[in-house]
Amino acid sequence: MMLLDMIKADNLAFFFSVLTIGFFVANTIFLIFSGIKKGIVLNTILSLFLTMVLLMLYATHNIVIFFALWEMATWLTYLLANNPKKSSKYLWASLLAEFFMLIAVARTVAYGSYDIAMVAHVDPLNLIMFCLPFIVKSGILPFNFWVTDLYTGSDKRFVAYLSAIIGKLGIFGILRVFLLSPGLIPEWFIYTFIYLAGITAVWATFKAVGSEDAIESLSFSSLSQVAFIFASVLLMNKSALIGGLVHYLNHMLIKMGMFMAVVYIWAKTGTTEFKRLGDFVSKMPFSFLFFLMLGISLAGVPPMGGVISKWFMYEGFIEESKLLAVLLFFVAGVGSFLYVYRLLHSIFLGRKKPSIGLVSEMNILAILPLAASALISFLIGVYSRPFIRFAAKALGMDFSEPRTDIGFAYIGIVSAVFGALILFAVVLWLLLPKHRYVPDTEGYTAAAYLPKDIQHWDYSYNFYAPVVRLGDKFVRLFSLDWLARFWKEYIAAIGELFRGIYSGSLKLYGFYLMSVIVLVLFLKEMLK
Amino acid sequence: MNLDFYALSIFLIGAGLAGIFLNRDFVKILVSISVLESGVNLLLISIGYVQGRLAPILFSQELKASAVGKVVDPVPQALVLTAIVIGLGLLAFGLSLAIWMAKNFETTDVSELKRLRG
Amino acid sequence: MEKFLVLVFVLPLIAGFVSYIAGLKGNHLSKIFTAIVLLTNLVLSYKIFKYVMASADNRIIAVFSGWMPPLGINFYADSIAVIFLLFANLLAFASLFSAKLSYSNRFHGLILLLTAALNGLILSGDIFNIFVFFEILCLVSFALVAYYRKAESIEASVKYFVLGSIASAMLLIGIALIYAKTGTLNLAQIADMAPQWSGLFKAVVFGLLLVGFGVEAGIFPMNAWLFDAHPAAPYPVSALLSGIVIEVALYLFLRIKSLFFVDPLFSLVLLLLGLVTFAVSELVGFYQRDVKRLLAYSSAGQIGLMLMAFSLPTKIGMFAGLLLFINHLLAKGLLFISVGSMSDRSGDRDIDRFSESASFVDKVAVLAGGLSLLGVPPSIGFMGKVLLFIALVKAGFLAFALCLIPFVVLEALYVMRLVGRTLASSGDGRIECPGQVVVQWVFTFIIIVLPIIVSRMSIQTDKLNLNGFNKQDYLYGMASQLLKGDRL
Repeated sequence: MMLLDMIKADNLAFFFSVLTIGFFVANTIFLIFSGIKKGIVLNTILSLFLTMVLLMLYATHNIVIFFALWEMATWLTYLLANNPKKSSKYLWASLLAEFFMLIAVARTVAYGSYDIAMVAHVDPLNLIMFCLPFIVKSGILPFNFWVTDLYTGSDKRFVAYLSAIIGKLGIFGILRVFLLSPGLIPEWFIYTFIYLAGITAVWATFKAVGSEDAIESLSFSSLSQVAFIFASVLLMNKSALIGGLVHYLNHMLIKMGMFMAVVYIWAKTGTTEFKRLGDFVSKMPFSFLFFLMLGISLAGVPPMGGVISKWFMYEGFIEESKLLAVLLFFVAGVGSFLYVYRLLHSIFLGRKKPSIGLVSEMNILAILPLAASALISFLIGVYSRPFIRFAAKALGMDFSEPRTDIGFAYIGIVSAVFGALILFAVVLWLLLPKHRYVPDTEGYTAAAYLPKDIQHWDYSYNFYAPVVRLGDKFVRLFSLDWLARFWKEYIAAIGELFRGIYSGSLKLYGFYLMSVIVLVLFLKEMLK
Repeated sequence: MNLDFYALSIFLIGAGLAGIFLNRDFVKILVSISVLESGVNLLLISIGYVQGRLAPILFSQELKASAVGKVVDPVPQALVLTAIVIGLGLLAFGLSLAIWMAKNFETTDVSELKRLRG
Repeated sequence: MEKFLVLVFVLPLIAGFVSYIAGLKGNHLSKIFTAIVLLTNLVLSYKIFKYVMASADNRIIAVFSGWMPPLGINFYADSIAVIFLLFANLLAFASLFSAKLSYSNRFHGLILLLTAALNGLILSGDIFNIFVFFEILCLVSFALVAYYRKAESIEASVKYFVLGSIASAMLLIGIALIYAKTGTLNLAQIADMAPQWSGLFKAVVFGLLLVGFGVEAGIFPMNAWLFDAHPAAPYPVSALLSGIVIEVALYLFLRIKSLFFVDPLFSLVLLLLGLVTFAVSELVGFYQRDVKRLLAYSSAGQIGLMLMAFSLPTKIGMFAGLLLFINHLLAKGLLFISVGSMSDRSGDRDIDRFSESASFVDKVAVLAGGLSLLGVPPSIGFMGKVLLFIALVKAGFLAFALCLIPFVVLEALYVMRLVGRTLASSGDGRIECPGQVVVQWVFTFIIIVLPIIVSRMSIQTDKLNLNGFNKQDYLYGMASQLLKGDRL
């Protein structure tokens, strides 16, 4: 079948295609059975179209077709997000970068080739221009300003797709180009963007920690993880690459599952703000369980899969002696504990809110994808070898046994220990009373001044204020709002200047006409 | 001499253009457009003019036989006929525009047309 | 076949007057008559198109009164001309078909004359003939812009009239000078003699012809009238003006330029002019609140792009220009018809209020038109833009390509603003004229289907032979190539 030929075009394409198809199927099953009725058909058709575009994108080696498909993916994302006002920053940032890619394509064509492998051969600047959309799509500084608007404004039926696949298209692009151009990548480019990605990861983590909305929190978390994967892929180190690809898979599963749970809650209650959610574990225990598993994976804790990929990525950075980068990503990783816990607690645990009346457990068919993602993530954690082999094959590497002899065995031991602890916890949970309700005055106020109104005395409100205060200046600096404001005023001033050209006076228009004739006369000197 | 005619036509063209740019009243601009077009027509005819020759009307048999060396170039004359008619059409339309302008703006002053801008 | 060539010009010319007279009895009479004539025209032009495109070397030459060229006037249809012919008649018929019934016999007569002038211009092989038809075109456009006879229309028409008159005078001076130097009016003969002209003469004539055609074509800085006239005209007229009239004027100028002024310096001047036109139009267009004026700025911008594309002396540039031309015609025609009728229905052209009574087909049409205009793959606009960039870089004008980028992004932003407002409206409006609905659906369909057709076409012209065009530059065998597993 033609589809099969496309998917099997080469190993890298196979990896990404399988993941994208798997995601699409799981997401569609979830959407159909989740009880969201409005707009599902259009969304599914457009998503199917987008998936086909992506499959073709993964398979092609022709730069013109790559460019066309990349641009189609950008526009389809814009249309699927269904919020022109908030997606406009995404649109112009992506388009700007894509036109630079077009110039790189044109220069490569002028150089004589249509193959991606040749892009870097024209000159290093060409490679950078070609890769600019990948950087923008991944949300690395200084292109991080569109991420939050797009994710929070996006149509909720699409936001899972956005986070799991689209956010990571840049990674695919970098892999595709860099793997085919060994030795031609300028060092300064790699260094600069690794550190920019590191700062982005820390910035996004701070923003996620300070967030009061589940989707916003998850979107910043996506950005942080993607920045990490981006940096490790950029490194072009064997361990980092494998770690990056496994983390791609992990992150896709995690975000797919978490967004499914949150979107389901949104569909039932109409809100995703932390202060309006709480104690959903009493109505949705299984969702809570899977969400918990995914959250643990996100934080990078064994025995879930997150630890495997992060391990390899850290190892890659250490091998290349990029210790500052390791520090940055480690800080981001530690921060991820904070927001994962916040998500878990504010939605599923904590104080009952009126919204609890509206939810019930997910339909078994709807919860199936969520369960599947949690279980696969668990599998990656405890039996990671086939996944690592899969990633290595995608990269064209031959991955034999690990080079450090304690590698796998160590992971196995840790997983076994954690497994035993979890087993113990499950046993306790089964035997002991399930939960108890406590009065409001036993709430924790997160070190902020006690608010006067008692309903704010709980985790769901301004929980991490100290952490947010700590990172406030840093976050504000890198949010680039100051730059955006300056730019907007500058463009507005130029616009006013040029509008004056068409001032409405007939004499002026006539003058323009005559001046053209006069100016052309000056050409006579050059024509003799 | 041809040169006189050329000079005159350039003068007329210049006068027409000056009139278009310096006048504020639309009807005067129309007049200047006519002057401009007259200048151009004159230029066109003078190109075909050869001194001492006859008008290109073949009114006798002998002329028909050996017309070539004896008449001025007929092509510009045909062109000018057409151009004059075109100018007439433009002028007629311009005058109707002037009437409608007066009806809508109470004036034919072109500098009053400043609502469409930017 | 020659008869068709003549017929396609003469028929609407006579019918224009007949339609006006017939319409004195009642509007519907003139509308039906006009529709029949334009439909006939469309069919004829399609027949001509098929005939000429059937073989690479086909062309039709129609002579008048038995006088053979170069002495006589002739109509000349080569492959590029017939493309223009077909699309001009298509747009003319579509505009008429989508027009409200309330337009008077004046409107129908003028539309027919406009079509006659367009057809004549596209086909003409003689420079004075071009001038005459150009004058007809200008005059009819002046009249159509002033159709509503309100303050806004009159103001726009007065400015257009004055600028257009100066332009036609300049044009005539240029033609006079050419005749003075060469003694002939036939384009092909003049082209043979052109290399011998002196530098001063070439510069003067180039300037005069640039102004003469440039005012009508919408080249900066002579395009100021465009932004007042296109909004003020009724929406079918705006569609025609934006979609075909400015493009034909541009095409004429470029045809003459490529025949007479082959010095690379002229190409550079036009390239610069095109860039400036595009940049200024998109920059100012970004700030517009009147939707039709916004679309007019977009038109001027696209003309700038077409100017750049056609002034590159390569095959790819030519093909890019053609694709941009077709794309702009379809997309802008569709957009003006939809947006114009929406703003007529809601009574206001402001961007916040124009789409109050949008209907479903309006939304679809605006989305399709907007995306195609911006060059979203897989539309032809995308092909055109990509080929333009490739052509620019291949010809060594990398700096120009880089300068284009911010303005293309600006255009995307303001056109999507327009599309977004349309899509956001409630969509329960009703369109009174069923013809308009048909036209919108047909155009949307053409916009979707055309990329597939174009990817299989190969075009060859007389002076600009596009054969041997690199197959890779055709983007759209892509799906089939990919699926066959070819590593391209």
